[in-house]
Parts: sequence; structure tokens; C-alpha cells
Amino acid sequence: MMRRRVCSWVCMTAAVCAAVWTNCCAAQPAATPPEDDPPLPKLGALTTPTTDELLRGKPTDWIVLLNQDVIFVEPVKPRPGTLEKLKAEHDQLLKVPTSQIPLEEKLEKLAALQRLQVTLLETKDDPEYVIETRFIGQILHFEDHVLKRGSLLLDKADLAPAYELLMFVDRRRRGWPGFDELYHRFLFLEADRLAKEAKFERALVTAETLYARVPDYADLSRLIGRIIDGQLAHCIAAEDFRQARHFLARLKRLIPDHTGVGKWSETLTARAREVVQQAEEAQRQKDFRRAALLVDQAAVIWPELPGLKESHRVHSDRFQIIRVGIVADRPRSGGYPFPTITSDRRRRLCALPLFEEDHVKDGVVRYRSRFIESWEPRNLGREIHFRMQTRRADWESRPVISSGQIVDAIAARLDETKPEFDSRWRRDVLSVAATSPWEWELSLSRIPLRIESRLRFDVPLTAEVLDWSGDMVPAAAQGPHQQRFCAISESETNATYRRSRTESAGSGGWHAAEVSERVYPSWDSLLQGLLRAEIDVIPVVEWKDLNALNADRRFLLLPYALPRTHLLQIHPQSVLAGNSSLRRAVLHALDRPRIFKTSVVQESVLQPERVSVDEASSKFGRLVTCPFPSTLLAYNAQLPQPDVDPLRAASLVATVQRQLGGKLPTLRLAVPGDPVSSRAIPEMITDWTRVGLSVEVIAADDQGPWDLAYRTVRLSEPTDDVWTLLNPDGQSAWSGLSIFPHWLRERLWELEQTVDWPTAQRLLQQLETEFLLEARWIPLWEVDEFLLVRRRITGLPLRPMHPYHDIERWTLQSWYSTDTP
Amino acid sequence: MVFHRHAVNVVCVRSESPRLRDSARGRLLLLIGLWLAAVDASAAAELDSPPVSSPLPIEFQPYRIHLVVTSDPQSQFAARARAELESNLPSLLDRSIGPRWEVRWTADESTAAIPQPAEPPSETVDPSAPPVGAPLQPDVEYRIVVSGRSGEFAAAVDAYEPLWDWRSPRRMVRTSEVRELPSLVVQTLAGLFRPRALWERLDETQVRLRVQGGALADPDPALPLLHRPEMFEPWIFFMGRGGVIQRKTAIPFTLCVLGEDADGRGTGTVVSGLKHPLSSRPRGRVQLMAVACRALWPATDVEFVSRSQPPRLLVAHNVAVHRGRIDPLPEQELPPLELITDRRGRVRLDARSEVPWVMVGITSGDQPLAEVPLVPGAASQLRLELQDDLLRLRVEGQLRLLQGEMVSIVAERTALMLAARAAAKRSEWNTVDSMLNRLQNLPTPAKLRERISGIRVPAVADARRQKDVLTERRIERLCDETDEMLQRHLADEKIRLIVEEMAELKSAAKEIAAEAAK
Repeated sequence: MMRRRVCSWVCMTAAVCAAVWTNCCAAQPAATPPEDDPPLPKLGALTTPTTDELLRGKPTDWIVLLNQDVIFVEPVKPRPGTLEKLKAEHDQLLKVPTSQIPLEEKLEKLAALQRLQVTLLETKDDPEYVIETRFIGQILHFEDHVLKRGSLLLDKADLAPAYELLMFVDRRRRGWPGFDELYHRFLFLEADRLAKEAKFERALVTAETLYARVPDYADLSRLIGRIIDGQLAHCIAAEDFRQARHFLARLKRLIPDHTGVGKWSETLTARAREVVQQAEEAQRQKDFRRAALLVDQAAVIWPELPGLKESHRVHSDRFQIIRVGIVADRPRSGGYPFPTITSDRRRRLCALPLFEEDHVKDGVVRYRSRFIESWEPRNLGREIHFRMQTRRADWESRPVISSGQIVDAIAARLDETKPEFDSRWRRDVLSVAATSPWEWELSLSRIPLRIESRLRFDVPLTAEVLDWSGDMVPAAAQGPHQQRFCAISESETNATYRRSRTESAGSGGWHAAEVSERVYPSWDSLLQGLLRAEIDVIPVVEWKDLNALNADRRFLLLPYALPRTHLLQIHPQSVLAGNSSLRRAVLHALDRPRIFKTSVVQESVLQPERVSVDEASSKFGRLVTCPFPSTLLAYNAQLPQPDVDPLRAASLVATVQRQLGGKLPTLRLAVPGDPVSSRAIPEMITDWTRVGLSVEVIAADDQGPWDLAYRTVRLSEPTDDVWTLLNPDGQSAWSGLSIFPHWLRERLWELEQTVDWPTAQRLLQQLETEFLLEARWIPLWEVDEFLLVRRRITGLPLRPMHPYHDIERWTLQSWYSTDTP
Repeated sequence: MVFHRHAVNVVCVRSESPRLRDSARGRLLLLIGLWLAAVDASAAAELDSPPVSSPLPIEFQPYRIHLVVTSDPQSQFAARARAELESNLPSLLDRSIGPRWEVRWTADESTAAIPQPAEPPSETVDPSAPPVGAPLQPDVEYRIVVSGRSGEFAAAVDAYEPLWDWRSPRRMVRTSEVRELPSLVVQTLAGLFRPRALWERLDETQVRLRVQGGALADPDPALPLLHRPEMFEPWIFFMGRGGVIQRKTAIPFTLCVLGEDADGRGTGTVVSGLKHPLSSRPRGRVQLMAVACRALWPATDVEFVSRSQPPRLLVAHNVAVHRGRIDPLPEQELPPLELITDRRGRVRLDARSEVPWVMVGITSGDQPLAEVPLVPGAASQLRLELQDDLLRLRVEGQLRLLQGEMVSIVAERTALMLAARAAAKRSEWNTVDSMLNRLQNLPTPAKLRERISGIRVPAVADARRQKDVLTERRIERLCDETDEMLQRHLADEKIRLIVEEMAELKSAAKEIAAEAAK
């Protein structure tokens, strides 16, 4: 509390009078007036403090006496309007009757209200004084100085320090008289400056702020019009019509009767009309793709264009473009040896195998073929007679393949010198022969468990096939496996695929003609793209937004028929492959339930101490004990989940360290780039580090060998697909399995030899048990994935096997977004 | 002999004619043909001349070589090539091979068996080609088919050894200069040639070899009779009265490696997959012959099958191929070539000149099944019948899994003991109790022993059912070893000791606390 010194009224009066009359400083104590004090400065001789003084100096109020002398004091109270407030209080007290307050007290208070207590600056000893208010001409407060300096800066268009001073005042004392005026001026000048610098969006935000405060600010409407003009011109030049409409809508909301609203609406309408006319022209020239693209563009330019709906229906029905949004999943490790989710999806879009997965029934995947009409076993199944489809439906996008080409493709699998060679085929097939252009026979030395699963390959497109088919688009000739759709363009951010066979007019209407994949950097931006109607399909939806999207009537969520399994695969040449203890340590160190709950499906944002296996089960996925989908019969549901036991893992690590002479190798982990694995992998590495394992993620520019690979798979035929998990190259040669013990290879061989389902199932489940006990693979979890489509797409299967299941039959209904952006 | 075979073949071909098959006459002819064939086969065996019937020592006996030269009638310049051969080959053979070969020529005008020039070549045996006939049984019969087109002359050469009923691969030589053809043919003839020898057992590991023609001069050092080292495959010929061969058998998985020789005589080191390959002394009239094993094919496909009924392909078995050596192993031996048998139970061994012979070892799990010497390329295919080890292998797999679990248990037990001791030091008795609880809940040795019995009993019963004593013994040994490992690493004693130790520490800590409270 500031020390106060109370002088008598007489003394103070004498002192002040002396100060005034002798033109001396009032701040001199009456008792000992110093003779050599400098005179007080006159107001006219003083200038407004600089920005630096104001911001860094001590806040100072100026008390201007009647003779224009200025006393520098610390900020006085009350403020602002100090003198006015004191006088108002004084006048109010005068009106109070003496019955309510004793006279002496009243007089004392009145006297106090005629005096102003001040603290002099630069006076260290007894700086506190009292000044009679009747000698004060005016008080220039510190804030007034700041605002005045700010005003001067605005005059010089020096906006940045002016803004600093304004904020300084606002922080110091909100609502200071004169602040608002100056701030409005600043906003106007700032918006003007930004507009001149072509930073229209920021300029508009500033102008909108000013408009919200003072709608009738002088010249503001014209400034806003200028900003909108600039912004829209820029957007239209950049063909960002959605943004143009957005700004126009903002202007309309702000000043509905602004002249710019009408002007730009007409401009955009005219532009949209022009584009529609171009679309009509393209349609006349049979360039249906361009017509569809143009009419879509018109809908983006000005969806309110009269007649657009009808025109859009005509053009977008004729050439249907499915727009798909995906999150970038480029592998984070260089030389990642397995197909990514994106590459697998694109392969499934383009290739058309002889037999393809259709649905899952009774825990078994069922197949169908677009090429083969019927297949009839003979000679107790040792010969199979295949009859080909001789005609194609109008909607089918596939080449005409004759039996000779299939026979050639199978023969290549029997020929050791060909890259397609598969020793399983050579073991099982005695001969293959085309008996007519539409019939062929397979003679088997051993009947495989399911012939359909062995025929899940696509016959490469050759010049002969293309000639034979006659109506394949030229782009299909660019690659051997582009039977269904062919790649038109592929890049990091976009990919376009078109039907390999142009659809002809049929009774069933037109179907999807083109697939356009757009890559977004993150799930959030992908979701934004969906809501902006940039895309109609999302192949995999993040679980955190699943409920919200499911509730949205605009979209349809379809669960995939098979879950996707995440696992860690061990390289056969790795140190891990030969060290059971190290593999077990890797397995038991992982807290899979917690990682699954918090990082994979993100059901729990907290980091729980412990999540049990049961708790980890979710409606979106579950922990698994093998890489095969738990919905298939091959999955061994009786197999208990491996324990999460860091203590045991640490002990095993110590054992291995002793075995290896004290030096533990750093394990190199190859990782894909999909969002789920990107979330889980740091958690896994933390768990491994905790037990003493050193695991490093292979960098993008590192092409070196790997020990562990994070894989995501959807294996539909476990007996055949198990090989893709044993050999990194997916080949079925034994030579790659030398690291596996012989008894395990013998089990695999036994499984291959099996011809009946119960035995195959039993053997497969035994294998799963042995692989898990020995940690030869490390199954993590499986997740149920969902395909999201806008309801404008019809013809989808209820439980698709993959994102482009039956895409040739998808139909896109005319729709465009009319929402105001 | 060969003539009769031809006759039988003719009858058989006739019998397959559909016109005759349906008729009674055809059936009669077929029966006569079969009877003649049977008579002919037995007569042929009896009439087989002995390998060595000359009064000369074998080292001085030349090889009886029969050359049959034919020409491709569809070939434009075949006659010129043939004329070149006929005029120059005898003198060239004389200069190159010299007295080692006693050559007899036959000009075969038939063209039935001549392959078409467009046919693919050359390194395969043509099974349809009949053996070349000759009045006197030769040691080797060579057939040379010459052809010529504009700018290229060619000769296809193959060899047949009647004694072993062995056919060589067909070799093609091509040249644009017809004068070079005879020398190329001579080189090819020498390349397909396999010397033969008489062998005599010296001891378990060595034999004495006497090579036919070994003492005869080598006119051309570039075409020596013997290679270094030369591997011989030993055979035993059982002779009947009159010196005819009644039966012949090769000593399986055995090679005699001839190092140095003098005038065709030398000592061969026996390498074999058998423990005592030469131990059984053949009785009666026997002749011990050996024939050189040379890499004439580019590779040998070795097929491994089990001796069980039905035979089982030994798929996915480990095969180790060591470079064959008879001298002690050098300090830095090259690592063996590790292979795995494919889905047909085969491995392919490529012939390489720097590795003349190899030791091929096949294992079933940890159990070696066989280790045999082979000359890669000496045959196109080879079949090895081995013991069926599947039952033991399954037991090995089950025990390995159990052993893996045991390692985990030992590791966990050690970690828990350490954690309990550490907690005791900090006087955290709740943690100590929890650790001891976990320790006591770990699988006990008794339970693990039950699991071993669960593996042992059915496997041994199966082996007994199959009367496979060896497998039974091996299973017993595997189970015993695991049991021993269990006793060594997972004794209950350690847990008992730590429980007692913790109890003592806990009571001592309580006493100290009680005294401190007083």
C-alpha cells in the first residue's frame, strides 16, 4: 500500500498557491522548497511520447495546470475522466442532506473530492502529493497518449505499430474513450491495405469485422465491394468456383443489396450456361466423357442455373464417373516388399481373374466366373471340362478370351522357365488342352481342395486377345492385366481408370464408365472432400467417424465381407527366423489389447493401464491368433490369445542376449503408410523398447533388408494364401522355406496334399497353433472395414469383397451439391 | 541278341495293329510273338558274352567299337558330310585314339530312325531308337547321323553300351566347314566314351582297379583314356556255366575314385553311402567290373522316395551337397550347398567340371537319412529309396514345440525369481507374494512330463504296429532327451528354495519391525 502523507488543508493550499504564483513546480514540499529546481515544462513545448517510450517506458499521466505547466505523475485514479468523475461525485455529495451524513464528515469528504492524490515521477523521497483540482486545467492520461500516437501512426499508414498500441490500450483498459474510433479506422485501413495487396480473404475478414461493429462506416460498403470483386475475379481465374460462390454468399449475407451480388451472380450464371452449352456440343460430338465433366463443372460454377438439373441428368447418366477419395498410404519404408492397400485395390479394379471371390457363406468364400460358364468334373474329378461364356453382357467390361489363351496361361504355370511357374500346378496337373475355342480340359494327377481357388489368376491380355475381342479400348493394351478397367493416368495425387471395353447401349441403362481416385493427405481432409461433394466413395472409413457418417442419410455404409487382418511377418533370412526365444519376446512384449483400443480403432482416447483381451474386442475389430479372417472356418477360435507379459519378454530378451554373446541385434521393421499402422507402430516400438528390444523403422530412402514387416491382408483362401505369408515373394517354392524346421514343412506339405475339407481345416488349425506357439508370425488384430458411398450410387453388393466389387454394374444417379459453401 | 530283340519288336508292333487285334489270327500271332519274346529274352541273357573273355590281360585289351554312320535323306548336303567322315574319320581315329579302340564300321542306309533336323536336340536319349546291331558284341556302339544344309554341316552322335544297357545323351556337332566335321566327331565320340575296369577288394576302403586298355598308348594327350580323378561305379556280374552272365548288379551308392594309375592299374578309394559296401563277399562265379561315371548330362535330377508301401515322395527335405573329396578335409572347407526337395521329391544337381563328384546328404528333421556319393550329370535322373521317417519327424516337431515352451517357462521363472528377490530387498512383501504365486502357477515338470508321455506313447505304439524298431528306438531317444532337459532346467527344487528363502526373509523382517516398534 502506498505510503500516504496527509498534510493539512492549509499547508497544501499554501503550497499549491505558492507553486502557481511563483511559477514553480507544485511538487515542491512547502516546508523545504528547493531553490534550484528546474521549471515545469509547458504543455506546448511537449510532444507526444514515441511508440517505444509508450510500450517500454513507465506509464505516465500528464497533469496540466491552469498555467499550462505539466506535472508528470504516475497514472491517477479514477480514470478515465478523472476530474469529471471527482466533480460529479462532489456535486452528488453536496445534494446529500445533513440528516443522512454528519456535517463534519460531509465537509471532510467534499474537501477530499476537491483534491487529487498524485505520485510524482523521478522523486524518490516522499513522492506523494495532493493537488487541488481547481488548479488543474486538464489531465492527459497515459492511454490518451497511446491512442494519440496510434492515430499519428495511422495517419502515416504505419499499421503494424498502430495495431500494437491499440492492443496495448485494449489490454490495459478495455473501453477507453476514443479507442473504438481509432480501432475502426485501423480496421478500415488494414482491410484496404490487404485488398491492395490482393489478400482478399483476409481483407474481407477485416472488413467483415468492421462491418459487424460499424455497418455504416464511411466508404466501407465500397471497400467490401472492391474486396469481393478482387476475390471473385481471382477465384474465377483459378477456376475455383466453389470458393467464388462462397465469397459471393458471404457478401450476400453481409450486404444483401450490394451491387456486387447481382453482378457476380449474373457472371457465374453466364459462365455456367456457357459450360453447359459446351457440354451439349461435346455430347453432339459423342464425347460423352467431356460432356459429363463439363456438366459437373457447370454444377460447381452455379448450381442454381435454370435447366441444369435436366442437363446434368442427361450427361452424367451417359458417362458415369465414380469419384473415389483415399488417404495417401505410400509406404514409409523404402523397398516395402508387399502390396499396399492402394496397389491391391487398383489391382482388383483392373484385373479380372478367371474366378473371383463373390461372397462368404458358411465360413467359406464362394467364387464366380465371368469367363467360364460351367465346369464339369469327370473321371472322379481327375478331369475337369470347362465351357467358356461365349457372349458378354452389355455391361460387362472384359475381353473375349478363348480356351487356347487360358491353356497358354496354365501352361506357363507348368513351365519352369516362365516367371508364372508354380510348382503346385506342375505337381497337380497332368495336362491341359483346348478341345475347342470355347472348351478346355484340365487333367489332374491330384485333385486340389478347390479348383476355383487355383484359378484365381487373370489371363494376360495379348495382342491376339485384343484383336479377338474387337471392342477393347486402346489403353487396355498398355498392360497385360487390365481386363476390367485400364489405367489412363496414375500419379501420387490422382489416378484415373476407364472401362477396358466401352459399354454399349443396352436395356439395363448405363453403368460406371470411369473411376477417378483422388489422394488426400489425411483422413480429415478426405472427410472434408466428401462433405464438399468432391468424392462419392471412400473405400475405408475411419472408425471414429463411422457413427456420424452412418447417421447421415446422404451416405451408405457397407461392411466388407471379410475383415482385414494386421500382422507382423518375419523375414525367413532374418535373425528372428532362427531364434524362437527372440520371436516370443517380440510377441509377448506387445500390449496388443491396449494398442488396438487406443491407437487402432481409437475407441479410447485415454491410455488405460491394462486392457484385457475381452475388453479389446470391439464392434469394429478384435484381437486374433492367426492371419486368417475369424469369419472363415479355417480360423482356430479355440486358440487362446498370446499373453501380454513384458516380464517374460524381458527375460527372453536377456536369454537371447546371452546366447548371442551380449550383443542384441537391432531389428529392422518395414512399415506401410496407411493411417492405422502409422498410429499403431510407435506404440509397438515403445512396448518393445520397454523390454530391451531395439527395433527401428526402415526409412523411406533405405532399401536394406528387413527383419519384420507390418502387413495388412485379407486372405480369402487360407490353404492357398498361407504361402503369401511364408515367402516374402509370395511364391510357393520350398526353397524359400529352408529356415523353417522340417517338421513344419512336412505339415505344410500334408496340408497341400489334403483333398477333403475337414482334414484341411484340422491341419490348418494345427498349423496356426504351431505358428503362434513358435511366434513364426505375429498376428495383431483384425478390423472390420466399411465402404462408404453416396446414396446416388446403386448396384453395389451388400457385403463387398473389395472396394470395387462388381463395379461394372454400379450406376451413378444424377446429383450435384446445391449447398451454399 | 540285338537281332532277336528287333524281331520281337516287329512282332509286338504287328500285334498292336487294330486290324489284326480283332481277328483270331492276330491273337495267335500275338501269343506266338510273346512266347518267342520270352524264349528270346532268356536266350539273350544266357548268350550274353562275358565282359572279359580275351586271353590278354585286360589292360592290353582294346575296346570293341562299332560305328554306324547314317545320313539324313532330307538334308541337302548330307552326302558330302558323310563322304568327308568316311574318308577322314578312320585315319583321324587312328591318330587320336590309336590302338585303344578296335573300330568296326557299318554304313546304315536305313533312314527310319534318323531324326529330322528340325527336331530339338541333342542332349536327350531317343528311346525309340533301336540299339545298333552287330555280328560281334561290341563294347560301345556309336551312331552318327550326318546332315548338311546350306552353310552348316552337323552330326548327331549317341552311344550305346550293350553290357550295361546304357544309352548316352545325344550330342550334336555343327560346323560351317565340312573338313572340321571329322575332328569334331572324334572329340564327341571320346566325350561319350566310358572306360571300364576290373576291380578287386583290397580292404574296406580301397580297391585295385585294372582299366581295360589302360596299358595301350595314348596317341593324343588331349584325348586321354582316363580323367583325373576318374570315378568308377562297381558292378558284380554273376556268371553261369560257360561264362555267360546270369545276373548283374551294381553296388548301390558307391563309387571307386581312381587317383593315379600306371599302365591302367591303380588303387581306387571307395566312397559309399553304405557303411560296409564291400563287406559281403559274393559267392560263386562272379566277375567284378566297374564302369566310369562321367558327367555326360548337364544335370542330374535326384528323386528321393520312401521305401514304404506305397512309396512316398520325400518332399521338402533338406539336402546338403558337399564337394566330394577323398583326402582329409582342408581347414577351410567350402560350405555345402543347401537344397530342399521340391514337390516331386527332387533336387537338381548341375554338372560342374570343377566338382567331379559330390556327397549328397539328405536329412529328415535332425535325423540324417543317407549320404551318398554322386557324379552330377552321370545320369539324367536318379532315384534314391530311403527309410520312411515321417513318424519320428512328427514326434520331433511336437517335442520342439514343447522345448520352446520350456525355454519360455525357464525364462519366466528366472525373471520372477529375480523380481521376487528385488521386491524382498525393498520389503515389498505383497509384490513378493504375487511373484511367488505366479511362480507356483507356472507349468510344473510333472505336467510337462505328462505331455512328453502323451507324445511318446502313441508314437511308439504306431512304430511297433509298423514293426519299425529303428524308428521306435529313435522316438524313445528323442523323448528321453527332452525329459532329461526338463529335469536339468526345470527342477521343482529351485521354486521350493526360493519360497523358503522368501518366507525366512519375511519373518526376519517382521521380527525386526516388531523390535523397532518396542
